[in-house]
Amino acid sequence: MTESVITVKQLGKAFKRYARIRHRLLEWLPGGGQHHELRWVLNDLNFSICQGESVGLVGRNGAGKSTLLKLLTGILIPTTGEVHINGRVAALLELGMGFHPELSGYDNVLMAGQLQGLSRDDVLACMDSIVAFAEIGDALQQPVRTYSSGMMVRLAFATATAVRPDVLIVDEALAVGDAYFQHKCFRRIREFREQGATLLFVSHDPMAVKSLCNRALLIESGRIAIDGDPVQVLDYYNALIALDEAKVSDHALHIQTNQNIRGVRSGTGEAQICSVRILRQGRETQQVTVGEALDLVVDLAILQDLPDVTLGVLLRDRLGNEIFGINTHQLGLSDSLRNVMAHSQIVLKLTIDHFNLGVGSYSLTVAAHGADSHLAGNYDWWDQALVVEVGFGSGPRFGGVVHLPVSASVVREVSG
Amino acid sequence: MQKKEISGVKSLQELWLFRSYILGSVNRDFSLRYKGSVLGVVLVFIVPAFQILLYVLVFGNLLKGRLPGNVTIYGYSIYLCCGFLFWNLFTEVLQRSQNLYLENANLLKKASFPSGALSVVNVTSSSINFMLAMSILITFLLVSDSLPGWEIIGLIPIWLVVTSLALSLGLCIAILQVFFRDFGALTAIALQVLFWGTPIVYPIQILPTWLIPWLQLNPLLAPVSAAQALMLGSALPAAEVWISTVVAFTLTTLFASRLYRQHKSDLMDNL
Repeated sequence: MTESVITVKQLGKAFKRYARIRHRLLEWLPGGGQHHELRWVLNDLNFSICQGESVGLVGRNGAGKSTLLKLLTGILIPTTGEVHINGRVAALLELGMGFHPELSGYDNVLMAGQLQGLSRDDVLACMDSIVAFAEIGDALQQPVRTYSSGMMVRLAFATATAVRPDVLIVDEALAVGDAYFQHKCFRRIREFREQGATLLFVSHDPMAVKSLCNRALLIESGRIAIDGDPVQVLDYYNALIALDEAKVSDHALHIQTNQNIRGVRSGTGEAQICSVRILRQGRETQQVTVGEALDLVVDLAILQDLPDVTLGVLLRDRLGNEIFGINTHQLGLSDSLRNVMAHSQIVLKLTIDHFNLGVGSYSLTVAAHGADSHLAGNYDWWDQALVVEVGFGSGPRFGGVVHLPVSASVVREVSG
Repeated sequence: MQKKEISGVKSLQELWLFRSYILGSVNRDFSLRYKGSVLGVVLVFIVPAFQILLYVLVFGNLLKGRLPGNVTIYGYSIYLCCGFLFWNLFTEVLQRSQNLYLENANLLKKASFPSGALSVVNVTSSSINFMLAMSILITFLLVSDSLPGWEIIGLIPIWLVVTSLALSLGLCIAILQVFFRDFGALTAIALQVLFWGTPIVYPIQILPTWLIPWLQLNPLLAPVSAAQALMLGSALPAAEVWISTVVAFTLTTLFASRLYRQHKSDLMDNL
C-alpha cells in the first residue's frame, strides 16, 4: 500500500469582498457587524494523492486551480477543511519564484535555494548543474531584470528542481519556455517520477497532461468535477468547453443582458438573430470533418417593419483572419427579403456541399443589416456566434486552412 | 498557554531552519544598497562619518553650541550625534517593518516561508548600520579624549529597547497597511511629531516645565535621554520616565500579535 503524500479534506477557500474599504474598518470595530460578502473560490474538495502519482490539474480559467496550488503550498490559508503534505515540496508558481529584479541570476538562485530551506553550501553545490540546465551562460551575473521571460522560467525551473523534491508542483509556468526547453523540463519531470517523486501539474496543454500524468483532476467552479484517467478527464473537459458554446445559442436572446456568455453583439435591434446552427444530415453539430456536407441555418426574428434586410455569415480562423464570407445580396436573394413585416420570422439555410476547410477551430459571425451594405442600418451583428471544430475525415491529410480537391498521379521514367 | 509556548518554540525552530536565508538576505541587503557604486562598501562608513564630522564642526566649532551644565567643546555635538543615531535606528527598523508585507508581496505570494524571517533580516541589517555608525562616533570620542568609560556598555540594552519598540510598532502598521494604505502616510506625519517631541536637537532643559510631563508620554524619551546621558556622563532619566516606554512596548506587542492572529488569512489574500 503506497503512502498518501497529499491529503485534502473538505477544503474550501473564500475571499472576503467589501463594497468599500471603510466597511472593513467598520467590521474591525467592536460591535461593527458584518459587512463583507464571501466569494467562494473552492468548495469542499476531498482527495488524496499517493507517493509516485503524477496528477494533472485541468480546468477553465478562473476555475480555482491556482488557488488550490497556493493552499497546497501553504501560501494561502484554507477557509474550511485542511491540507496535509508529507515531505519536501518544491513549487513553481507563476513566473520567477519571487526573483528580485536587481539581483543577479546567481544571487537569485542562491536566495531561491535558501528560501527552500537549503544552506548556502547546498545551493552552491548544485549551482553548476542549475546553470547547465538553464543554459543561460554569461547572463548569470547580470541582474534578472535584463532577462527574457524564457530565461527567467528556465532559471526558476532549474533552481526549483535542483534537489529532487518529494512533491513537485508546477503551475503553467512552463508554457513560457520554447519547445526545446519544454522537452527538457518534461524529461526531468519524468526522471523525478521514475525516482518516486509525486507530481502535481497544471496545464492547458492536453498532450502534456496525457503524456506526463497517470491521473487527472478536473476543477470546475471550485469543485472537483471528475477525478480519473487523464484521457477520460480531458474528453470530459473538452465536452465541457463545447457545452459552453452550446449555451451561447440557448441563451441567444438574453445575450445583450448577460455578459457572462461569450460572443460580442451589437446592433440597433429592428431584427434579431435567434439562433445559428450547423446541421449534419439534419442534426446539430459543432464537430465536423473536412469536406462534409453541412447546412448552416440562421433564424432571424423581425421586430419592426423593414424595407429590406440582408443576412450575412463570415467564417474566421482562430487568429481572426477572414476565411469566407457571403450574404443574401451576393447570393441573389435580395428580392425575397424586401418589405418584411414586424413579428415575422425568416429562416436562412445555406447548404454547403463540401465544407472544405482545413483542420482547426473557426468562429462564425452572423449579421443582419439593411440594403446590401452593413453600413446602412446594422440591425444585429453577432461575432463568434458559433465555434466550429474541423477535423480530418477519411480523405487525405493536408496542411493549411483550405482543402483544394486534388487528384494525383505519378509517372516514373527510367532514363538512359 | 501551553499551546502558545509550543507554537513559539516551533516558530523559533522554523526561523533556525531558514538561518541560511536570513544570513544571505542581510548580505544581499548590503550588496544591493551599494550596487552600481564605485566606492562600494566604503560608502557604508563614509556617510555616517561625514555626518558626524559635520555636526562636530558646525555645532562644536562654528556655532559654539553648548549644553546647559556641560562646558566641553564637543558636548553638544556628541549629544546631537548620539540622539540622531538612535533616532535613525528607530526610524529604519520602523519603516522597514511597516513595509514588510507590501514590499515582499512578490516573495510571500510565491514561496512558503516564515514571514518572521523577514523581520529578523530587517532588524539585523538596521542594527549593523547602527553599529557601524556608533563605532565611528565612539572612535571620535576616543580620539577627542571625551570617552566616558565602561558606562557605554549600557548602550547595548538601550539599542535592544529602541529596536524592539520600533519592531513591534512597525509590525502593527505593517499589518494595518495591507488593508488600509492610509497608515503609511499617517505614520510619516506621526514620525515628524515624534521627532520634535524627542530631545535630539534641543536639550530638554530649555523647555518650559509644564511641558515636560507631557513629553514623558513619549516612549522614546527615556531610551534616547539615557543614551545621551551615558555618552556625556550626566544623570540618567528617572525610573518613572521609563513607564511610557514599557507600556508602549507591551501594548504594541500585544496589538501586533492580536492583529496577526485575527487577520493572518486575510493578510495573504490581500497581498
